[in-house]
Amino acid sequence: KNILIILDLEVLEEYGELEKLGQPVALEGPKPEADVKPQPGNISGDNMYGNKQHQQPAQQRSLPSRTNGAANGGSSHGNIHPIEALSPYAHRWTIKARCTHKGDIKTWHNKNGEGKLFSANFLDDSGEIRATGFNDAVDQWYEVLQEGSVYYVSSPCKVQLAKKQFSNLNNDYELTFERDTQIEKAEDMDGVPQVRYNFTSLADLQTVEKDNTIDMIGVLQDVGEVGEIVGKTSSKPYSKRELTLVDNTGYNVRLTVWGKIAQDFDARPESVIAFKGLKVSDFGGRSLSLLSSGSMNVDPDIDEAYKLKGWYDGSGRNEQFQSHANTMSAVMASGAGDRNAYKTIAQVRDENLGMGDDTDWFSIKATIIYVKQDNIAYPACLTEGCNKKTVEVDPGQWRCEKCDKTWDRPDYRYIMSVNVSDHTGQIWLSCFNDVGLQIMGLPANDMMAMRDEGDDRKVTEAFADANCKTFVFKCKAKMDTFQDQQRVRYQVQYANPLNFSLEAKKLADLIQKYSIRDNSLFV
Amino acid sequence: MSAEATPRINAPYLSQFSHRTVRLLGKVRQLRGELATVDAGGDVVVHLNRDAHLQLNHAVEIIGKVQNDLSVRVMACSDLGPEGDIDFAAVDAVVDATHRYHEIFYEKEQ
Repeated sequence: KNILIILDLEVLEEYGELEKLGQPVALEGPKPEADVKPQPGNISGDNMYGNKQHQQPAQQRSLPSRTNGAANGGSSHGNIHPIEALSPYAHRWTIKARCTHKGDIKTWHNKNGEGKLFSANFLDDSGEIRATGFNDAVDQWYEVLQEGSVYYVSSPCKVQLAKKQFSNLNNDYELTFERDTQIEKAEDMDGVPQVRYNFTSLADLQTVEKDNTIDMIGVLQDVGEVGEIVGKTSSKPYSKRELTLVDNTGYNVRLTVWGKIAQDFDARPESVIAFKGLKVSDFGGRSLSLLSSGSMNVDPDIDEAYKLKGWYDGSGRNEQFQSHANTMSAVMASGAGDRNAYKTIAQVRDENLGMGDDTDWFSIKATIIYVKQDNIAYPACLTEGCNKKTVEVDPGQWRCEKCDKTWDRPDYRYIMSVNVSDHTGQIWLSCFNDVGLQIMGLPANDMMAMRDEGDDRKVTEAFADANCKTFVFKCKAKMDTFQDQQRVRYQVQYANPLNFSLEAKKLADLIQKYSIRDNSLFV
Repeated sequence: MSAEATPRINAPYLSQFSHRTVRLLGKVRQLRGELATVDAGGDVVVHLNRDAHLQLNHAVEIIGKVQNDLSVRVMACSDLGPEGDIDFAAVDAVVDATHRYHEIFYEKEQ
């Protein structure tokens, strides 16, 4: 039966007493599923199932099943509550849930004393909840709980507001084990799903705030090499690997996996991978990182995976994907600290970006109005990856100190100063080879060759072509000391050509803000 | 090119701009000899001129004069390629802004 719990009721006396309205009928309960799962060895007992089967239909909450107490000699489990229904107001309750994650035991020492704790995530058909055990509870339960097994957890057990910063689960509450909390392994795992996903599509990723946790499913498009980085604070080496995933909303995204998952990664490109517990970051627009409490499932046996496979085989394989690299952060004026903030040139000056001790990052949409024509490139070492400046020790002999090699020609790499402008002002930016290439449209070696041959016309033409190109420049601003003078330098990290659709939307949104009180033709 | 303003409109605005020269961006839906139907937020009948070469399901920008019957007599048109390439949300935003801030874009007949 469906039960409606009325939390508050106000009688409208002013309307007096009316006749019964219409013909109310009892609300039909949900139809039991065609293949009713038998519950043989269920500790809750067989005799609760009379004629009515309280099966859990896919969409609806599961109902507390009535049990007649100890049928199999095990401790009575009262009503099985759905996790969704847990709240500080629930009195006696039992949940039947799978332990989807058990964290390591952590210890702490502070002025209040010391202690230890561990956390576990529980999942049932209705939702998930995080549970923590402190001190004695660690000794009591840490070995009992195994990831992947299903348990009955019963009150007494504290239900309190969740500390969201420690959890990636979507529940307002979390559990804290108490001394009398009961945890019993469930023999039968029926009705408890393995993992519960709540997927966010890549197109929607734009609206997700950074640092939030999401689940995602996509087709693996590209796998990077495994790399090692050393943690800044812990000095421990971490393995990491970057993946590129796409989905049928037309976007791609970079996703980083860590540790063992990175090292043992062997999923083939074009396989479908479902991720649970990804942290959203605004690095490069939007990117994802797999949390230590998250999980990865390759080619899972779920509908979404088949849908994606079908889409990819059909049209997805050849589709061009939009990356989030050009997405501005959700709030445009999010302050100088935000790496992805779009600024106007006036704002860059007014906010004194780069003039403090730290490096500031910002993006500007600006047009090149002048390229400084002298010193546009430096002679670099030909060794792949080594970009050190080489010195011409003898004519035709270019030496790189770092590699201890001498080359007969240098590889010229751009190091340019460009003056760019937007509607609020102009600013000088320094660009390196990649961006220089985008601006000039030809390699530095060609430019230098044209100069050497005295082909002034071509050189002038090349510079003229570079003018009036508009890009979104991602820049780094910091103070630099040069000959006793401190100046702020703006360096371009990368330049992206305009995604007109995105930029048009941004401008439209800006214009809309001017008329926020009027109604507009579009939503 | 004449120096007159050609405010950008879409179908709902046709009646307000009767006898005026306007700009329309829409998708070509039908071609019937000298007539065509273009979907610009609503269907618009356009009378083609000698130089107009429209392709079905392409986006097209038309500069023309609005007639009594709210059809448009084409003076110039440009093919903008397959309609899937155009972001019509951006187009609608421009039309909206044009009329909201009409003083920037054209002289409003009162």
